[in-house]
Amino acid sequence: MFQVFLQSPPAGVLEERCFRSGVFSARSVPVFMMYNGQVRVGSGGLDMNLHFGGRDIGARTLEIVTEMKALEGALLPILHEVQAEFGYVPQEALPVIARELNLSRAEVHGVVTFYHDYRDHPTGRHVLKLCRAEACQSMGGAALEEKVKKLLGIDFHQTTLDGGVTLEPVYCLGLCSTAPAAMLDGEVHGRLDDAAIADLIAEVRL
Amino acid sequence: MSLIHEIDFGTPASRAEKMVTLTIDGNEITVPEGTSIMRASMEAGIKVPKLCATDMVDAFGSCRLCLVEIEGRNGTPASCTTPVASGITVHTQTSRLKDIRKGVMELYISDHPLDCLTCAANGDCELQDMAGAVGLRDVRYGYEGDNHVKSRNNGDINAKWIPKDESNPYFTYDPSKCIVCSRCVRACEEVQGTFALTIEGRGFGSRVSPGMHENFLESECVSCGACVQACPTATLTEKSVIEIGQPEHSVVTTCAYCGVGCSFKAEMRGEELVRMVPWKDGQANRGHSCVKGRFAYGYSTHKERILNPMIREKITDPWREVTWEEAFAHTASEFRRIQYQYGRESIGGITSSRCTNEETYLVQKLIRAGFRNNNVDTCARVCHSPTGYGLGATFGTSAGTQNFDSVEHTDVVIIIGANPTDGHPVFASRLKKRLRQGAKLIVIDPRRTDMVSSPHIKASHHLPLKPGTNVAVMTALAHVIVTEGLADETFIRERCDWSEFEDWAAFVSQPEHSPEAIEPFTGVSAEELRGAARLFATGGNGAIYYGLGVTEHSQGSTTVIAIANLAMVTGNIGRPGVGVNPLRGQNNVQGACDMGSFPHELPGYRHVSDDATRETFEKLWGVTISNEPGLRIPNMLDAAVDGSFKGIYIQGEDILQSDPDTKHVQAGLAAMECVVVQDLFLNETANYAHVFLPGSTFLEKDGTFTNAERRINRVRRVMTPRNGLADWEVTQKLAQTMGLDWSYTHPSEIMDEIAATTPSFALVSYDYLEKMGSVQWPCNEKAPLGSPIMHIDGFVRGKGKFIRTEYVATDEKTGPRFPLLLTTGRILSQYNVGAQTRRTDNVVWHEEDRLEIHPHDAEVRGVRDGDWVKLQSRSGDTTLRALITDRVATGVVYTTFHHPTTQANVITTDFSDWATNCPEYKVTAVQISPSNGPSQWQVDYDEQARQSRRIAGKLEAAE
Repeated sequence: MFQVFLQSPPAGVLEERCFRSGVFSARSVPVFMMYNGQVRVGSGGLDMNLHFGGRDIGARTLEIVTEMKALEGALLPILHEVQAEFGYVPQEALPVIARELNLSRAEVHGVVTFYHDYRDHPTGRHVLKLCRAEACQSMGGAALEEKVKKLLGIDFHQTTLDGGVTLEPVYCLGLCSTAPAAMLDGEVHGRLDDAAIADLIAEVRL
Repeated sequence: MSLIHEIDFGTPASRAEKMVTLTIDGNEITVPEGTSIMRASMEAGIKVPKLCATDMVDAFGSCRLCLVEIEGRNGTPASCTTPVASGITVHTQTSRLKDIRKGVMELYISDHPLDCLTCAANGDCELQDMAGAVGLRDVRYGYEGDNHVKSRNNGDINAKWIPKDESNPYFTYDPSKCIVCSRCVRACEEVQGTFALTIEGRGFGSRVSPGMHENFLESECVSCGACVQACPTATLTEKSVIEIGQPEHSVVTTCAYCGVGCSFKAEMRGEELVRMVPWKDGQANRGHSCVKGRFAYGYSTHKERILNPMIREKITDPWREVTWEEAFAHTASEFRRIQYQYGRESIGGITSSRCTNEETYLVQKLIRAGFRNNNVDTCARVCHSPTGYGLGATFGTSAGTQNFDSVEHTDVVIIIGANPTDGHPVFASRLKKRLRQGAKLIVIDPRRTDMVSSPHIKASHHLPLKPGTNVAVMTALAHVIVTEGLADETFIRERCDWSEFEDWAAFVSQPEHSPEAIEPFTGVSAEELRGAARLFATGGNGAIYYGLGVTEHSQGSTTVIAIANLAMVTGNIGRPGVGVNPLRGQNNVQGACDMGSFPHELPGYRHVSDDATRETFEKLWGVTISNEPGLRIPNMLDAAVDGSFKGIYIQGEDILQSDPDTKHVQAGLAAMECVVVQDLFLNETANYAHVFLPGSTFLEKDGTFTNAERRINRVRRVMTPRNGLADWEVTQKLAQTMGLDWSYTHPSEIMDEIAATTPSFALVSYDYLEKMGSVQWPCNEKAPLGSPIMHIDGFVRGKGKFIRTEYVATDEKTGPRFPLLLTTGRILSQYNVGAQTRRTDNVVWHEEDRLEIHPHDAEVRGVRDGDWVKLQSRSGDTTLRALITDRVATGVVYTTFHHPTTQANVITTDFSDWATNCPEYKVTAVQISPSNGPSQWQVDYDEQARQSRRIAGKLEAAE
């Protein structure tokens, strides 16, 4: 098992339909396959930026689950911990969690895919979330969004080429009184204007 | 005949006793408290539009179509999730509701294909019906924009579209037609209990996903068909419906696989079977099914099915197709010749546990009245004969004490030597439902079966005993209960013989029966065992379910007695939720036993030495019946080898594959002069046959099957026998050719004869079964409605009998040459020796038998997963591929016996139960070693089988 991040998909391949993603180097010769309507990246001669082998993920997940399974409603805390550990929730972790919690793979998959914050691939080193809810939009959120995209050179759900920042939309941070708002690596920032956002971005592009 | 349409009440029935009266659309209706308004409406004949509700699952309230208005309450609550209340007035159709429903349907249809005319569900689609019911005439949103319907949107790939999943051999999943009502997901969870489906994503992105976005075949799906049944659209559809079209009539009949005895509607077009759909009124299955009964009926039209009678002089000759008359004349004259030459006792027969009660009755009647001896036996010899003996001795009846519904009242379940999720899947689903409601579970099994741990199921105690130590473990459970004062003294004093109890209690209390004393040789932790005993004795209604892991041992009968003792000492007999329940393997093995298939018993378990019983039959049949028991199957084979037994009539059983010590069976059959096999296929036994009489399937005949809960279920003919004659007609014509004066024109007449001669069947007739649906014997003047639960006010034998159960280790012991213990079992998708299921698409789940071995045992022998290994015992050797798993303990290996090439019974020995000769399949000392392919014996066997299956004038069928 490997994790690759698909940065510039070839024409005709929709990134959002990719089964897995990760980072692969310039020497990579990606192999794309259509399978069940999904584009899968094959392993033919790939020199990839490997994160964890399947075995490591399984073993580490088992440790996490063993430690936390006694909690009431353990599934969500375990998934948080798995994501904290790997930066995302690897597919290989799900059968282990399912088995240990006496759940089916399907149930765990249903929960993981329900929440946007559980990712199936790693993010950049920083995650910037822009609030796009009504209050922020009415306070110039749309213009701010364009500005940020321009500064980073990426769209929502994308990561900068250097793997530094991932940009994501969020629907209400609850900071309507200080709109427009954003969240950088879990920390909230309000009353963002051009200067403030430029500062934030400069901070993460260091 | 027309298609049976079952009423869908939308939500499950309420069990409350208190009744509530309300008014719905001007009709006053009284229903149990807790009933949904939707169900109450349906009971009054008012159909509230609905999509996400169906009465096999709990209400969910997601489709927003079933909204109603209640006077004095705000808003428009969903009728499926709103319970009735006394005195309320409900309106199901107002202008406001009409507008809402039309709007909801408009949204549904805006993301649904408009291909109704070419859709497989055309004519059986609830979405179509609801569009009609709410008067949808227009979809204002159009069909452009985001959708799941089209593979391309304006020339671009539509990322939301998912192609059809056709991986399952029996049904397809077409996500483009899915309305995400969750009925399939809930059916998988609530009815089947597998939890293989989920809704992935959220909002408009929500889709049904098998496993982790896998296809159905790779997912956890067990292909029970509950989701297909629940689906209101064509999203999940049987492939047979896609191919053939909608059925036009249906007939209720009974499944011919395991002993659960599920009722199905055979849905037909003309004489073509379109699909089998579980029948909601089926009292054994309550509308559920498994992959075998629901889908695996293709064997009935398989190309290898033999449709013409055949004979041959020697077993090395090719078969010669003959007319029925010639086959009967040849068989009759051969049997008469053999009896003339070697004596009356030189022939016999075997009845089939897969045929109907009526057919079984006729075969034993042919043997007793035509052959004039008692040489009749049945395959129950090799499975549940110890049940007959053990329960007969302790309780007085040779059958389970409960109906399957009883499990809904159980608080603690012991499963011993059974693997219900594979062997009795529909019962397992009902049991798992009860476990999810909080009942506790104790599993006694050498393997970690799915009942020990699977989604939402966790056994409180798993006692992984060494194969062969059942008696020690059961006695130790009793030891704990007696010595810790947990016995139900009131029950015992009232219902059982007190002095026998005292004797038994003193016996089990001996220190050598304590959990600590047996731990060294059973491998069961004493602490776990004590915990299990305490739980069973104090946890409320305790029920014991057991299978062949109990009976197929040298002490099989003793274990059954120990189980009965345990039920009596805890007072768990005679009411719902308790009891001792053998899970019988074959569809009619209970019936075959009831019908007098044993050499020592006439129908109704009455010994042949009983003059009154013999007289009943002698008077009716006009013959004298011997008062000496005849030969059992192993005795017949021994006698054949000795030269005194020369001819046998075997109906629907493959003794060569299913009976132990294959080489001995081979030798026995080879020594006979006339072996007559009646079967659907040229089975392994037919390799040694001189006459082959083609059999008919359960779809081609009328009759009755009796399931594990003693329920007599009707089997109804839905198509003409492809071989020309139903099995009962074959036996009758053979009897007539032998000079017997039989003239049955319909199986109902045979049942009338059974009822007239057998007290426990006294009131059973086809008319009565038509009226009642099914009945559980005893069904007579004392119990005109049948007997769902036995021993209610007292045991059938009078006082319950406690019998000492001394553990005697089997002679089959491990040693330096054979250090491992082999035990055998089965798998969900295959049935018995696989003659039927191997000839269906079920092979996608189980292509070959594998040897399960613990990683440690594999490692020391250098065996890797998938390697060929040689499996060797004192009897013989065979080769199969290894499957490395920690489901089995170290020192134990496990395999299934569904494929003839594996020949697991070459390995098994001729040790057997002391009381009944039931073979010890479950314990064989073996050694395994790496191998590079099939053994010489397997190669020779295959060649011999190929040679003996040649039919003159026909090219050998290409495999």
